[in-house]
Amino acid sequence: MFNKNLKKSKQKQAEAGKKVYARFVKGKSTLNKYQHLMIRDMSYFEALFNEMLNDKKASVETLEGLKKGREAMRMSLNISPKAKSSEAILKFWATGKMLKAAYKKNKKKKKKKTKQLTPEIAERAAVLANLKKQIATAKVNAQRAATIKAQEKIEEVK
Amino acid sequence: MTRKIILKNLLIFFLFFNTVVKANDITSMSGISEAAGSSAQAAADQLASDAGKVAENIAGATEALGEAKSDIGKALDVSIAQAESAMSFATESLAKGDITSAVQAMSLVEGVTDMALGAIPNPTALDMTGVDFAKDFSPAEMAALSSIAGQMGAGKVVAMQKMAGQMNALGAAGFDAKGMMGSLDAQGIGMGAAMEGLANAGMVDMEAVTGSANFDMANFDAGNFASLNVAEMGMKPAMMAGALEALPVGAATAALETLAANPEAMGQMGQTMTGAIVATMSAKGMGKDMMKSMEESIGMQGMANMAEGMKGIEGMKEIGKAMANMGMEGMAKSLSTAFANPDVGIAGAMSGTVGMISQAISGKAPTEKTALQKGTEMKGSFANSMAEAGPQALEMPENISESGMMMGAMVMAKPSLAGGLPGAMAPPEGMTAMGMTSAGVIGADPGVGMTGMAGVMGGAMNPAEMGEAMSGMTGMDAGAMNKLGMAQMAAQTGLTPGMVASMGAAGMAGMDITSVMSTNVAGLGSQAIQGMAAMAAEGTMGASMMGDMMEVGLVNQGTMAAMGAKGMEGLSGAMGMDGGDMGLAAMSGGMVGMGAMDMNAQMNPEMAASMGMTTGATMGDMMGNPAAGMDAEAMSAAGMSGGMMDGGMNLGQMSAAMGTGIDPGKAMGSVANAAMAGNEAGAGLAGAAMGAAMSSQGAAASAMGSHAMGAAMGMEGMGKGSMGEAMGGAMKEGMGGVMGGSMAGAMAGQAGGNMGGAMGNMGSAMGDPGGAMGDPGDAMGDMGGAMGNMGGAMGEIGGAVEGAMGGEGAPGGPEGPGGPEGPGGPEGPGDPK
Repeated sequence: MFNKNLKKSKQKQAEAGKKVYARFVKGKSTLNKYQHLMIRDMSYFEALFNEMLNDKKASVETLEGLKKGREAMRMSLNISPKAKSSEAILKFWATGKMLKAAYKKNKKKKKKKTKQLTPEIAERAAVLANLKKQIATAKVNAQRAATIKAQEKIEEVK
Repeated sequence: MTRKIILKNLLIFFLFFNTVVKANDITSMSGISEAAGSSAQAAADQLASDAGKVAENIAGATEALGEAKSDIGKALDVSIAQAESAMSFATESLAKGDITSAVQAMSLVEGVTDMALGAIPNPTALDMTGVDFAKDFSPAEMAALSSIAGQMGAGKVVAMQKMAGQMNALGAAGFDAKGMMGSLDAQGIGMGAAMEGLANAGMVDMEAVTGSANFDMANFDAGNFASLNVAEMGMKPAMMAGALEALPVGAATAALETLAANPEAMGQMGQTMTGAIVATMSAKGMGKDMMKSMEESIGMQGMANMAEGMKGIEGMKEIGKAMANMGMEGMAKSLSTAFANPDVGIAGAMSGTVGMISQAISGKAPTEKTALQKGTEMKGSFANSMAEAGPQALEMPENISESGMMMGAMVMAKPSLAGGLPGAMAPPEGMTAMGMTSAGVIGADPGVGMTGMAGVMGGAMNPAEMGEAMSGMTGMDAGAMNKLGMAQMAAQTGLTPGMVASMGAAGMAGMDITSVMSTNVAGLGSQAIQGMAAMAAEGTMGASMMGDMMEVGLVNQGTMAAMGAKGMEGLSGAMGMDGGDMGLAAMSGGMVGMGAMDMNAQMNPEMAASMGMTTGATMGDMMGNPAAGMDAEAMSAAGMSGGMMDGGMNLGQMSAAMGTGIDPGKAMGSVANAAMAGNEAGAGLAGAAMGAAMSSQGAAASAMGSHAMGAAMGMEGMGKGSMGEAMGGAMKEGMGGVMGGSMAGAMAGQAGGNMGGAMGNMGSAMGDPGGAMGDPGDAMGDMGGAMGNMGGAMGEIGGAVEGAMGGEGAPGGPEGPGGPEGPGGPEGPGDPK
């Protein structure tokens, strides 16, 4: 993840900061397109937070902000907020690597998938989603109807 | 005389006819009381009316859509046709008064639509096909990926168990659920196709599940599969470690109990695996004392030391080594299927959460559209006219009371839970699909009651005790309650009154009842967890172990009931609460009866230490001073006086949040704030029940991901009465609280990307209040705002990252690393120039 020459905490912090800044601040508008790089660079975000804990100059507010960001980023891979940074870094790195390999291989498939979504498929998808919603409504209504009638009976015995 | 005979025969005919028409659920409820029977009849009538509308809609859709030309279109047509046949069965069942079969059939259709939608190509989803894991990845990286796959795949396993439970219930009721699934399998979108995918990914072992190497629907015992824990279903070791990180801690103890009884099940990886499982328990916060006390019931000695060297990255390296010793090819193949095959559900779940984060930080929605988005936008399509003809949400009148809410829930308890709770969550045996079968809850001549909690409460629920607790919770007169038959109704559910109340809140709001109930009783299927609850009930559990129970998420409605008054007294006392009615607190799952919380008191230091909290600080400090900034009037309105918080807070909610890994201080602060908001709004039991239901839903979302959010949460029409307002407020608190992020993540990963789309439109960094789900003027309209607040962490991620990177002294700020003149920034020491 880091060049072998970067041995000191400060050096790692600087390198991680550079990566994080480039990906999540400067390049944030491209995150939807390059999700694989976003996941990989979350490992640098973890590293940055971890190294900044050693930095006496780091303000509490900054660390708190980074911690919030770290927790949200961990949510993308269901990594527990309690997990050590080393575990989170390995998971982000391995997943980023996998997604990058897959991105290269499947770049062209996206267009194919979009083409597959003909009106025939799209309309059926909408019908199925509506069907699911209506069934959920019917089940809720059953409980509500039972509750309303129960309330009527409660009023009678009062 | 002749006239008399004719009249007598007419009467007999009428009674017989009436019994046939009102067989099953309605008759059963009528046997308890007239009020219960009428309520069940009202539910059946409403359901029949709505089911009819849905069936008409399906018939209309079939006609309007015509015959599909593409393979995917044909598969979707089959799923629509199968839905039609299941709805027809539901309608027939309702005509017989069989609400249970009707609800189970409708739930199965919901699952089928999810599977069908999941089969449609999604251009916004991650495509992970074609990766060569054996070539490009180290053993540790593969172990890390297996862990992620296990975590994200656990939800699909749970979803399959839910469906299998429904198949089991429907099969017993005479519906050809296997035939239905067979037809879907022929199109590649049924249970068999999903099970094959899960087996190839190592999430289940086909031999363990079906008794043969290949899936065979004829021999598939749906009820048995639905009731298995993760070890019993033969989940591969590396996947299991990940799955157990996501599932409740009781799932891990149940798995260990199975493995201790069958040590050969793990093969060569046995020792590494038991270590990895214990490490997941340790990672959730379980201490050595608790592990030691579980050794006997699990049947495994030296557990506390097994986690050594198996935690975090060390554990992954060890698992990687063990996998390498067995040959990496098999693992590489499993990973390839796990991530690439949409039937396994991992790609969908990951696409949802990853997409949500990328959208939250960038503030942009993806450019591509899903099939559902395209279909919804199509002008003049049949889908768009479906909503008008379909069932509309029933508006709740203003006079609904909490007693009414509970009675409605008791009517619907058996219909909603007859499929059983998924075995992977380790529920009490009586609440699994097999438990439902053996209790005679389902079948041609079903009995009235469910076993429910009876197995862990030392016998059937006592109606008198139930009545007393419900009276304490609702304030309703015991005599009136008896007239209505409420105590008997409660006893036959086998659930505690607290569970009934949260079921009422969840059901009326449209949450997934199975998920909510699963987390309410998670772990009680494990002997070790039952032992823990018994220890607390005897009063022999130390404060440190109680802290562990809180931290690992083991304090839920089920364990609270099993702990009883004495256990709850110990627990609440150690947490700094005083007074209250602990018997009521146990039966209500901490919704009512808790003592007042002294903000100036200190938590028991042993308990605080075992929860990883500061010892010696006051409760107020640890919660982040929830009353800070309030004036005297506001404090009084929020139930605070003299540093005491009236009614305390629900420890189950706090434990649920902590069990998902949330910081104890944050969890306490969030639950305390919710309790204070509830006090201020006068939310009472309804608000508390909704808070508990939301908390359970959040824990379920964390364990099961998108598969926990199967229903339509946020259903409008909760009513403008005080109860509707209270429930809406509690729902908003729940969505904006610490568990909101988990729910957002889970909703983002729903099949077909439907919620993902809505989430993407929620504005920059998801902070657009009143967005996709808002419906102003309705109590539930607050959901829109609540979704905008989504879990704090999520709503603030964009700002948090940018703020942290851009502030002075911050990494991207002046003089900070990565910033101008800072190390790594332009002209700084790390700059290549």
